[in-house]
Amino acid sequence: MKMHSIRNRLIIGTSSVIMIALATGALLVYQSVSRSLYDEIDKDLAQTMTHQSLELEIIEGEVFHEWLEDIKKDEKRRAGELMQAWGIASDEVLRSPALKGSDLPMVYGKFGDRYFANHVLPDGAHVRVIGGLIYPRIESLGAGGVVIIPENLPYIMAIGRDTKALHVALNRLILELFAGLLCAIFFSFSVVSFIIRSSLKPLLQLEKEITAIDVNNPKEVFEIPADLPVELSALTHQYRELLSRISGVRQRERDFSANVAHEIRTPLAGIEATLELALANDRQLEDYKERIGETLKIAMKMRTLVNRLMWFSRLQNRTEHTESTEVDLHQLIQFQLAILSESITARGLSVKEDLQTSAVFKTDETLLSILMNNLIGNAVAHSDEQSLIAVRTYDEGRCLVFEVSNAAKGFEGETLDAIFEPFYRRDSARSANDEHSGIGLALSREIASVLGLKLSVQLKTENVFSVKVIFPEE
Amino acid sequence: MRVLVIEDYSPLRNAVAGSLKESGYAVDTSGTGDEGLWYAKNHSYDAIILDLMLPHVDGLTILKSLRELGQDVPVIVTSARDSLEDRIEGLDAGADDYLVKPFVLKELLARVRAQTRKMYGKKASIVAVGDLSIDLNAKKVSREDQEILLTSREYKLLEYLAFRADEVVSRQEIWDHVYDYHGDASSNAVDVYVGYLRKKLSNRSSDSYIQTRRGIGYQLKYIQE
Repeated sequence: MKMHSIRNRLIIGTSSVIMIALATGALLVYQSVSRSLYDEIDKDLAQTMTHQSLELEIIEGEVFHEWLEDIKKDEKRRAGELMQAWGIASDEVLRSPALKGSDLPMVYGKFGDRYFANHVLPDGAHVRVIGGLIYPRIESLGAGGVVIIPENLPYIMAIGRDTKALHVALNRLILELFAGLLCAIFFSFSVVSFIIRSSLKPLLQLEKEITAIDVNNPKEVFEIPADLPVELSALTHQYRELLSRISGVRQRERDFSANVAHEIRTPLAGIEATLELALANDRQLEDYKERIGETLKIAMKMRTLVNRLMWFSRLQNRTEHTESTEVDLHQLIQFQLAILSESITARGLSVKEDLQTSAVFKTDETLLSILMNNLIGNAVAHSDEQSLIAVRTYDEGRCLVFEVSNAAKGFEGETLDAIFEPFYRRDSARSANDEHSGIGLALSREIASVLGLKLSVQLKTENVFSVKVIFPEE
Repeated sequence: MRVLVIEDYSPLRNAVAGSLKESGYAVDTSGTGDEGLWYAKNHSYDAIILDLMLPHVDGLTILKSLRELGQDVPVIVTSARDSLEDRIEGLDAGADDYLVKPFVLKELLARVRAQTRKMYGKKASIVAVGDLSIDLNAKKVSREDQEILLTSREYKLLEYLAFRADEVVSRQEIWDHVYDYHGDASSNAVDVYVGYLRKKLSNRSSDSYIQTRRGIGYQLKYIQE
């Protein structure tokens, strides 16, 4: 997977934005300066145009181009002036000598308006041109009383101005702006890069802290760098929280392993001690048989424990194969009560059954049997002697509920959460006793999870402990 | 010697108790912490074998309670908890020894013997009284390389007196350390067994090993008249 660098993205992204902003600024500056310079030229051209338009006169009834005469008279001073006039009525075209026979663009419109254009002469010179429609000014009419109307003798006049100096100035401006832009980009890139690197430095420190965590020490938590940005503190705290939870899980796994070792070691010690004692002295055959029988009993209980641990492991890993068939819950409960009847009688317990609802549904019968056996068996084993066990099923909303409750003194509320932990016992005794391995409720929780059932425990009153299994609507 | 075994796992408890009995110890057993603590507080033992994880009252609590009461009876902790921290915790709580399950019974017996010897200030496993030699490991008594055959009860009595050689030991003390709580010995059993022992130990009428201190008890001390 290709990994993206936040730092590079920030540096490139921020620098790009700054670069675009600076380039836009430089462009605006260039355009502003350019427009300003052209405005100056245009203003000057407009004044020249106004002035020169007065130099088109009607003298003695004839159109007289005084502007052209003035140029010719003062060639030294006005040699470079670019002017051209087109007589619309007369079809005559007049050019200043500087044009060397070439034309300026014929730009014009309404009388009085001025029009501007850029133009390149055949010799490559760039010129700014102003053009407009003008009428000759009557200086004097000719003899004979001929009436001359200037509007009938329109001319188009164009005046050009070499813009070489302007282009040189603009080109220099471009170079200066470009150099400035490069410097600004480099500077901003450096500053942005420095700021981002400095800002991300605590992340590197955090990375070092996390790398240094000893995974074998579940209690260890990393230190949050003091200069960590506030934007990352929530994430870091969440990460610490996650680590803490992982540590908790790891601790439970260790406890589980230690408990498994203990639960196996104790009966193993029983087997070894019983066999060692049997072999310590010569004995009667019956004595040997009795001791071997005791050992076999312990071995069988160990097998039950190991089998339960295997079930537990497979259920936890979701590798246990399940097969759904139609199961009658009431029949299953009755069957489990029958199996446990001997223990119920031995402990002087009475069972109150209240199985009112029809309860046939599709599920894994084997797993459900184990679940029922664990829950009812647990109630029988841990009920106070001579007490009552209540087994009932009822509807709750659209769900079916199985509930088994029993009297059990000394159960404190805070221990309820821990009751589903493997090998949980209410007192410190951990060795496998005659009937229970300490994994039944943990196994029940896993079975409920696999079958999609909801398992919960509660203290109904101070001494009445209740376990509920909620079967979903389906 | 009288030993208390506090262990909630009945097959192991029975095997340890059986082994101790076959080795000549008087043994009391308990499967719960509260009952075991009651036994330990109300009887005199030469050693206690104590499991840590017990119903009702855990082993460490029992151990601390006994030490707070000033009882210096040797306590050998047997536990499936084998971590260094567990062992340190057990020993710091006042245990004299810590044995991890599963263990070999012979080793447990050897540790019980070592602790009882230590309790009575005997480093060697053979106690000599005059020309009488008592092998505490082999549970054999001999004089001039000739073994004296004793019954289990006679040996128990002699062993206890040998541990406390030269001391005057009361009948009650003998009763407490030689017979277990459910023992069937009658009130004058101590006097009867002392009589049997005297006969078996003395091969000359002038030799005397067990002296009677009238109104007090008995003393194991060799006297040649």
